[in-house]
Amino acid sequence: MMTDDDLSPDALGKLFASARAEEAPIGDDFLTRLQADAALAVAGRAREPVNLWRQIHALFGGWAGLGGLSVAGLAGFAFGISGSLGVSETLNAAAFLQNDLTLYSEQFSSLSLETLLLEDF
Amino acid sequence: MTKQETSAAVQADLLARAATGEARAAKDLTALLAPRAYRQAFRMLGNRAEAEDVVQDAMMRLWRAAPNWQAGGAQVSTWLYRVVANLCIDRMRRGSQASLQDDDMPEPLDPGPGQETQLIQKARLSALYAALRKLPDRQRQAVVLRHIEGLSNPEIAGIMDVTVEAVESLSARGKRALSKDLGPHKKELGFSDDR
Repeated sequence: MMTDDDLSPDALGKLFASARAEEAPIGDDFLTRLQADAALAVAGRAREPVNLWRQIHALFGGWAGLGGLSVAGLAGFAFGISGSLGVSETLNAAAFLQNDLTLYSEQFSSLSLETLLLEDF
Repeated sequence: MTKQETSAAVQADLLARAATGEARAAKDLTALLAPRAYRQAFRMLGNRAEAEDVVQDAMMRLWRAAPNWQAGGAQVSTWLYRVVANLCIDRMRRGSQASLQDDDMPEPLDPGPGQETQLIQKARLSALYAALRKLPDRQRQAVVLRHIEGLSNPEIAGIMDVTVEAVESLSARGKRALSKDLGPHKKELGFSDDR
């Protein structure tokens, strides 16, 4: 409930009108900085190179997937050259290879391909 | 197509181009949106440095959202003003709001006919902003957007994510609280005959 002690709606309207009439201009320097930030933010996105390795990595389900794929390839290769070996020896060799690759995949899962290629094993 | 729809379409187009990495579009959109966002933040916070922080943060959020922007969804400007309003409210709740300094007060556009008029004008603005800062967050937001920024109730409802009726209620309660708070200062504010 409004009383005589309160500011009238007319007077309050005049205060709002005063506030509307005042400028709160954005600073030129600040706007320039915002525009530079904007250009950087979107340009970085456009220039981000397509990382083929990351795409392959994701496509095959990460290191575990790539490890499995490698094991399959190596096992196929082992079967191909193991005409003289028995079945059990060939399976043992494949299991050994898988263990090795699993260890490597855990060890290097946080490294990029570029880093791995720089390593001197 | 209305002027507002044209403006919304232009902003959406600029945002889509910015999302593909077009720096010119990002700069143009910044020039379109940032001044009003800054004005809104300043009027809610009453502090230039804090208003700049809020606008900078809001614009960076816009660029992050740009690649996943849904065409035909919220208007870019409405989205940005909502983010600005929420960031301002967060700051006010954290109590980091610095008090309004005289140096922060906007300068009158037109010096006016006399020094006394200028002094009254400055006193009125100081009193209004001080009283606004005492309002609950949502009331202040509604009053600033409606009566100082001059937005329509449906626009404010979109920004505040409430119904038009809620905006009307918040705005009315805010005005009543301002009237009570400013009533004792009628004389200093040049409203001595006010009834």
